Amino acid sequence: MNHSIEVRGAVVGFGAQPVLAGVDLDVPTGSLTALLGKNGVGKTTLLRTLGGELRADAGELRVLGLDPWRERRALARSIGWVDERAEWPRWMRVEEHWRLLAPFHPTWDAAEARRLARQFDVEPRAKLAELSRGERAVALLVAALAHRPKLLLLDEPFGGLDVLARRRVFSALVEHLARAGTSALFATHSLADVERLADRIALLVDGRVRLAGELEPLRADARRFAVELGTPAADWTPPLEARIERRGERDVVLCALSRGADVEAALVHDPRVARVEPLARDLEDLLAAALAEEPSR
Amino acid sequence: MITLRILRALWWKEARDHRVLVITCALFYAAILLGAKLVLGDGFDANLRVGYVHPAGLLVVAAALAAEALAHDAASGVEVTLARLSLSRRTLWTAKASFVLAALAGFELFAFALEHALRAFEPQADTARLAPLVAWWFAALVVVACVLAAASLVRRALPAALIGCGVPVLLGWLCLCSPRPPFAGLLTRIAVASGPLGVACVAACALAIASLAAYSVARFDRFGLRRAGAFVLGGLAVMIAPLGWAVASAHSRLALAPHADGGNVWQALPSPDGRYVALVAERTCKLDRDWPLFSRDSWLSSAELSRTEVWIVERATGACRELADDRCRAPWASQRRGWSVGPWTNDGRLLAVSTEHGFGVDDERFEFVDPSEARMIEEFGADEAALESAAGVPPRWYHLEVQGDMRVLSFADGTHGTGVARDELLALSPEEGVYFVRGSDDALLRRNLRDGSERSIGVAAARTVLSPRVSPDGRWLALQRRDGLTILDAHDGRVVFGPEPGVLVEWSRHGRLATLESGTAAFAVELDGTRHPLPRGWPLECGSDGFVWRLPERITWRSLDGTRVETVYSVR
Repeated sequence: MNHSIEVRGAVVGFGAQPVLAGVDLDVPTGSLTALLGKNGVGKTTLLRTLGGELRADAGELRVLGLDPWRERRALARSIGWVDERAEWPRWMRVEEHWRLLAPFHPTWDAAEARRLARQFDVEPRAKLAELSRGERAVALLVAALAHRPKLLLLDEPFGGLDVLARRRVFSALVEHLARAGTSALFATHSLADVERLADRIALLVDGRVRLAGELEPLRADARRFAVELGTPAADWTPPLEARIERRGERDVVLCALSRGADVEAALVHDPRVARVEPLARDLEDLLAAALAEEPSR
Repeated sequence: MITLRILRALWWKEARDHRVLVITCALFYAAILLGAKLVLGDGFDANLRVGYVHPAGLLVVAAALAAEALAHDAASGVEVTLARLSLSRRTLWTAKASFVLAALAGFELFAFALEHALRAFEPQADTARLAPLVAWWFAALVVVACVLAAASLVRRALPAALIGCGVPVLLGWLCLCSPRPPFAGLLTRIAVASGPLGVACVAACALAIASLAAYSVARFDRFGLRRAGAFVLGGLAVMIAPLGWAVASAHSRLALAPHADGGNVWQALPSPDGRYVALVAERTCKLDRDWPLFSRDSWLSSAELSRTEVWIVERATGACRELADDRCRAPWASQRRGWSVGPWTNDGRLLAVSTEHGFGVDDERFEFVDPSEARMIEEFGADEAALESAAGVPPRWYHLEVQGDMRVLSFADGTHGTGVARDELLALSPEEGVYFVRGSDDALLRRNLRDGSERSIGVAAARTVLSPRVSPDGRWLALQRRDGLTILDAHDGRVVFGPEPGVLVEWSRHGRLATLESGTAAFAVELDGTRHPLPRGWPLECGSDGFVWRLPERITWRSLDGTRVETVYSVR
């Protein structure tokens, strides 16, 4: 499988304490990978490193086959980058933004920019500074797509979009990326965005990728149960690595990653367990299980 | 090709970023010029504008633009975003620096157009000063470009400004603003060493101020003029400080302003045609504890805390031109130790001055001055062709040389006239080779050394004659005796005036008037006996159709009938 991004053991820090402490990540070509993790875990740092803005202290990184730090100028021509913190002059209109960007991208397609603007409902005469947060993100997305990038880096770009706009943008974006064969890596906190956009996820925990892979198999691996105990629940420990969501007097709700094991069978065989009831599962369960802040083994 | 397209795009961005600032600067500069012209009138002349306001304005604009180019993107975060593009830092800074320089060139064109418009109705500037000033401007631009280049080597703009400008800012600020610099020796050397260095200090100072201003007002960026206003305030702070060093401008009456306390005019000599008055002025330094002030044009008041200078005043316009001699302009101790103004040539087109270059008697040098340009023409006898170009009839210099018992007429070209017996010399005539002596029979003799002739002009008891003085045209001889003043025909001794009580003060330049002092009264007399009462005052000297008063801080001209009184020159 070809990969747009290949990272092995990346370490990036701003001082003595590294933010990324050995990240391993593959983003297959043509995939839409969601980068998940708690605040401050290093999602933006990883994106900035992949974009050539930060230099990795250690590790091996290849983005579109290029070293993102040493060959960042060549890389910049082939990636699109949408970051709501990106600043542009206050006087700049959307079409003036295109005018400034065009010389930097030999593949810039002005007709495509206009078409995308119509598709994403972006007004070319609007001033960037006067757009709402969501509108501005979409305008920047149009500019990022207009030069037909091979890789799109998105850093929490859609937080300001309302529900309807989000639906419209997402469907247009997915369609465009699929048609163009563009890979995308986007950092987000919104599980709804992940559900709609991503076909893969990567979860950053403590500076490392704890969980990565295609979304559906991973989702299937997450299990959630309501467990009724024969004894008080206060001192009960599950017979496997799991995250306890709620602990009552004699009942517990927990979720766990099966990782191939039969979680339900393990619970049933616990002598203190009186009854096990499987619950509906969703992406949040998956993440909760993977994060497992307080492993209750 | 791609790089050119990128440069063009960045240029366009810079132009859009800074167009409000550039236009505001140009309009503000025009407002300063026009406002000052309205308020100061003739005092705000071309030399003051070109010599001070223009360079200072250019420096402020350069500093503001450079600081904006440095700080604007960094402060707003655009710099980080631009770094994500396929853009080298070198290309980015090339675009910024070239935009700043191009904008400054545009400002220059605007300023020159404004200057050209103003000059349409006022005297021309002293063009001799323009070349070095232009060099200063370019030096300032080079400094700005260098700072921009240095800034490209570091990550952020503010550290760049501080690293690039820290030391010169400190020195420049101390030079400009501190009345008693703590490191006076070093700073004085820097200040007087060269013009461009001083300008560089000012530029660096302005750049730092403007850079800090740009950062401090960056968060209030909604209205472009607000930021420009901050630059204006910073610029004014830079511009006001050196005003005490106003350039000694040829046309400017502000020239002596910093030295008003110690200014004094020792000698005033009107030209025969009355168009000019030559002044010998002494500036004494205004002391501030132990430190002298020094002027911006590298003239210290001198090691003795005073210096003598010669000014040519054009009576009709009041324009003052300091006598310039770049050959002798050296910082600190001028080789020239003193001036005295000699006679005008009879046609009023050249003025002779003598200068002392050392302590010895032989160190005195005579030179000619063209009053229309207030510059040295040539030393006596060195190149008469140069003199001929300035005056229709080149003057000839001669003196009476004593050789043993003979008195010999010697010319500057080395030729000698006839020698005659050495007698008591009473007076020299402007007529070449003519002088008056007391003869052995106590008669007043008129001798001509060119042909060796000698004749008595019929004046007996020459021993009673005090200080005979020949009129500037050589026709009349004023004799002072105890019974008063008598004026004779210098050729035949015919009495044309007197004796009248009084003491001769001065002949008029055309020889038809003499000013007298008698008791406490002063008056001018014409040869037909007509008297013109003069007000009491300091000793008077004659012009052609009026009189010139010399007062400590003022030279005035008064017509013969007293109906017109003009202040020709004043030290403010």
